[in-house]
Amino acid sequence: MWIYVDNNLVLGANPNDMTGNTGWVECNGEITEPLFDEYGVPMYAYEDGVLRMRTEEEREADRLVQPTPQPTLEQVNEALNMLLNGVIGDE
Amino acid sequence: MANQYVNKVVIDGQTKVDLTGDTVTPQTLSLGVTAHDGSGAPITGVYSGEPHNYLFDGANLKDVFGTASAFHAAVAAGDFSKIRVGDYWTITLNGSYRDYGEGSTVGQYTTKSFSSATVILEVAAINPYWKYGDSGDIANGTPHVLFISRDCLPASLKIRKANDLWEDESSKNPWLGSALYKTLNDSTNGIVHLVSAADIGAYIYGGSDGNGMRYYGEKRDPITATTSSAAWFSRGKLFLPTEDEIWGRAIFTVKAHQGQKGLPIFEGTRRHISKGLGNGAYRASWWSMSAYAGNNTHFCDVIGGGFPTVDPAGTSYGVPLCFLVT
Repeated sequence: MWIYVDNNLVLGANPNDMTGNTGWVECNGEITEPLFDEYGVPMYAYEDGVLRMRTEEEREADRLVQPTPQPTLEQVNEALNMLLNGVIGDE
Repeated sequence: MANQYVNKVVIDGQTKVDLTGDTVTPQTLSLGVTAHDGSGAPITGVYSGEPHNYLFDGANLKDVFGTASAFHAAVAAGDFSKIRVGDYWTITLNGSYRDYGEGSTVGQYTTKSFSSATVILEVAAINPYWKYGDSGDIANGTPHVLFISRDCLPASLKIRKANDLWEDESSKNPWLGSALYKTLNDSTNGIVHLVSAADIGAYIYGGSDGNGMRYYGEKRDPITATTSSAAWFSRGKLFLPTEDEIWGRAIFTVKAHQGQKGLPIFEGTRRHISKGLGNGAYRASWWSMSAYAGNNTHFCDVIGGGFPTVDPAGTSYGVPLCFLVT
């Protein structure tokens, strides 16, 4: 099994020989779970030549609070149009 | 040798049965249906229709056309009779490229390599941008095929070095201003120069200015969260599908300034949406070229589980190879 490692996190796994491709290392471990959890956080780490499942605490720390987007100009315009149409429609 | 079958019956000078003008063949008759052809021979239909791409494994276009130049000639002539969505062309990438998503300041990069990296390019759509661009582009009806790789390139790449750091602030477009755009399209050191060395690479569409097709994209000033407007941009010889091209609609991105069309390769199935990091790999997360609406740090992506989401632009994810042949 070949794994793609970035900052000790496993971002890819490939059964094919990846010799010569940057970022890939061959390991003896086994991937039994999806590479990413439902939040997109890597499930596996590779440190000192050992593949391991990351702990819940480690993954929790990587979970990012998804930002709330500001309204776009389109959305603002749409809201204004709806408001104006509502006012005009009452007359 | 006389025809062993009967294809015409005349009784008392009156024609009772005449199959001689019939044109039915096994190839045009539905699978399993029986009939008699123009010679009177019994035939069984073999035509099974155009299978949806959730079932279709695709045909190897190298077997069909032999050479990239023959394939290109068919596309250029608008002859798509032997090309279907899901058909594929395999290339192998070798050599070094600059990853501009690495480092901390604009212009920094890390040199990385591909070695015997197999990339299976699937026909994602035929003529998807027909009369889409502005003047001087495929707006004129130039026949084209869009390729998107079955799996991602065997490298995990960042959109930006840091979540809010544009590589090119003059671009006025989040995708064109990204480090990943440069990693793909740097003409001398980007991934495009490796793809160009492949047979089909000679026919990548360069567009009217050499920087790919024209598309109507989001225009915003760097480091602003709010979309300012939209404008025509050159998308890059190598690009990524927009969020709405993957899912058929805009979800997290600005809906007015995207591809405007779900691509047929992705419709009705996630078979071609779930992609691995490298050919044949386990499924991984991968980037689209759409920025998150009203947000200056995130881009839209397909998470490893195969659903739409957004993530910080400084995250390393997979990148499919995507380009047009005209």
